Amino acid sequence: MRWLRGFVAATDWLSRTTGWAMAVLMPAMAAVLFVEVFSRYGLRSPTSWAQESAIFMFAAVGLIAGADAMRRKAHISVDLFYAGLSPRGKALLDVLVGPVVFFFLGLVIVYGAMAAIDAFAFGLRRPNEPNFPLGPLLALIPLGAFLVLLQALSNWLQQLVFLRTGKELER
Amino acid sequence: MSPGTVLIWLLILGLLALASGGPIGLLFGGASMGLAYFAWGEQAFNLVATTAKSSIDSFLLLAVPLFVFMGQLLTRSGLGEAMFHAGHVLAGRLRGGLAIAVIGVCSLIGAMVGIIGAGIMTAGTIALQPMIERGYDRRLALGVVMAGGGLGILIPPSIPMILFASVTQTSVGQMFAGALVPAGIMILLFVLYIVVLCAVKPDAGPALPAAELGGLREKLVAARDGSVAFLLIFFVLGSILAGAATPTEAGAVGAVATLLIAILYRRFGFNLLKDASLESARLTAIIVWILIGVSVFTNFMMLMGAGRLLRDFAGGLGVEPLTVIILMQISMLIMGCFIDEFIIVVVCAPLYTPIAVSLGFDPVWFGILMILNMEIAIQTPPYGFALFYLKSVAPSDVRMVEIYRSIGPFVAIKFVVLILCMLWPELVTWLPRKLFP
Repeated sequence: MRWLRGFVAATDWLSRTTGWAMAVLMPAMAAVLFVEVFSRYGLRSPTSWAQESAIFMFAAVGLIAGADAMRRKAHISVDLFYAGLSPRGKALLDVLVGPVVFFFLGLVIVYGAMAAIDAFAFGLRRPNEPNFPLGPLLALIPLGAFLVLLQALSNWLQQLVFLRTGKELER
Repeated sequence: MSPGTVLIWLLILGLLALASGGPIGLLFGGASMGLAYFAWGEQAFNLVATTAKSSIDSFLLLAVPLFVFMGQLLTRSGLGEAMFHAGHVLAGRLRGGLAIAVIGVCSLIGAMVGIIGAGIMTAGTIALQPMIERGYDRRLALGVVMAGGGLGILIPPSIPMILFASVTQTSVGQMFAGALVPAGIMILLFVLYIVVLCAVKPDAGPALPAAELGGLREKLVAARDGSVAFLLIFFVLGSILAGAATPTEAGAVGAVATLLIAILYRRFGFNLLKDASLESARLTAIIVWILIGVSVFTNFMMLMGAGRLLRDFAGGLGVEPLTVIILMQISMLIMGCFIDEFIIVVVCAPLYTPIAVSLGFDPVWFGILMILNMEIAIQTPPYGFALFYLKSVAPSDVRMVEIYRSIGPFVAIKFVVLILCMLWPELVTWLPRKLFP
């Protein structure tokens, strides 16, 4: 139980912290694009880096903040039947569908990582100016999926403990 | 396994995923790739990497976090409150004035944000209690908040429209322009309904006493607050429709402008920025993961020939093309009783739009019909997001049954607009053709 408690606390911290870090990117994304609009229409000299860096920030937020959303159980679900179940019934259902979620996230990690490694190995670059390397952008895909997977696993283990002991895991 | 068998299994697994109460995007992705393994073996998994990349690497989709962020800033900055106060002061003397103000202010909010939550949360928190306290018919008060807030996805900018444009390669500027006339008609009909109802049943929406509304000074302040909103909309929507800025650029300008307004209204603070950023990062991630998981599901479905199968099926029915469109809409409305609007758009847009186009219909017109269907879907029980949003902010004595009962007239109006747009496609197609020749 002790290692489990440690794992849950660690993933909680990790998801929360990465969620915070991604939140910082929100105003940054708006600011960078605002500068781009200003220099394009105001100064008539569009920047070459703004759009590409904003896309990178969007990808980071969209993929990585998924872990924090998972921690808050905010991913969209249909709880038409689920809401009517007892806490035990909910835990049982969560434990049953968990592996499907792990399977998919595992695929995203493996196949996303392979694509990223290819991009690094062949030195692929983005099609638009200023032709940033493609690798870092693709690397966000397995990284985000890994963080979401850790949090999903933590949620799943907590429900499993509840199912076995009838009590919530003490924090 | 034959493609037909795979598709049937896909449907069954999809339904099970919905019933399980788990995260839909991830479950759809997992279920479809599990099946894909049996149909194609390991090479099917390559779909995951390409779909994930296309779900993040898009300048168009970059508009999503920006409009989400703008909406979060707006609802938390107090501008929403100021706008409601303005509406209250300016329209309070009319019968049903507060309800009309809700529709008016929600339309303005809808022109700044692309989701339904912002309008319903703001109107539900700020305007519901005053209406109920002043003796408004509760059904009218509840219904008007949901109907007004729901305009968020119909009045551009609109996140579902951006998703539609992204998965069908339609012009998002044309989608935005196409929605304007139907949105205008809907707003007009909402207001007309309130006016007529309050004329027939004066108790439904009593006018406020003049003393409560203050003098000329109050009205001037209110008018000033209202015009700030107009200015913001003028810049954001105006720049998109004039073709001066892409929706993404307009979103960035809108977000920065909203921040400046918050500073101007002395509402800006670390907590505002923190809460808005955290919440919009989360919402962005939710949309991105839905896009990845659900697109893997639909891409696999399309590769298994679901599009062709559906087209053959539609052709084999031997009915009018418009009947096919109606059947597709009925299926979306049924889904809308159970499933979130983002998911329906991501599933149905790539599946249905090519069929509509092959029958000779305009993709922008079909996209707007789909958004109008979602307008209805968000309000239809048992599972409509508008219902839950409203329940979460309504006074605690408002029961779910009351919320269910309040939707009737407003859903009926939405159907009227939908039917008008089907009978006269020009209502949708005229403006985009004018603006984007």
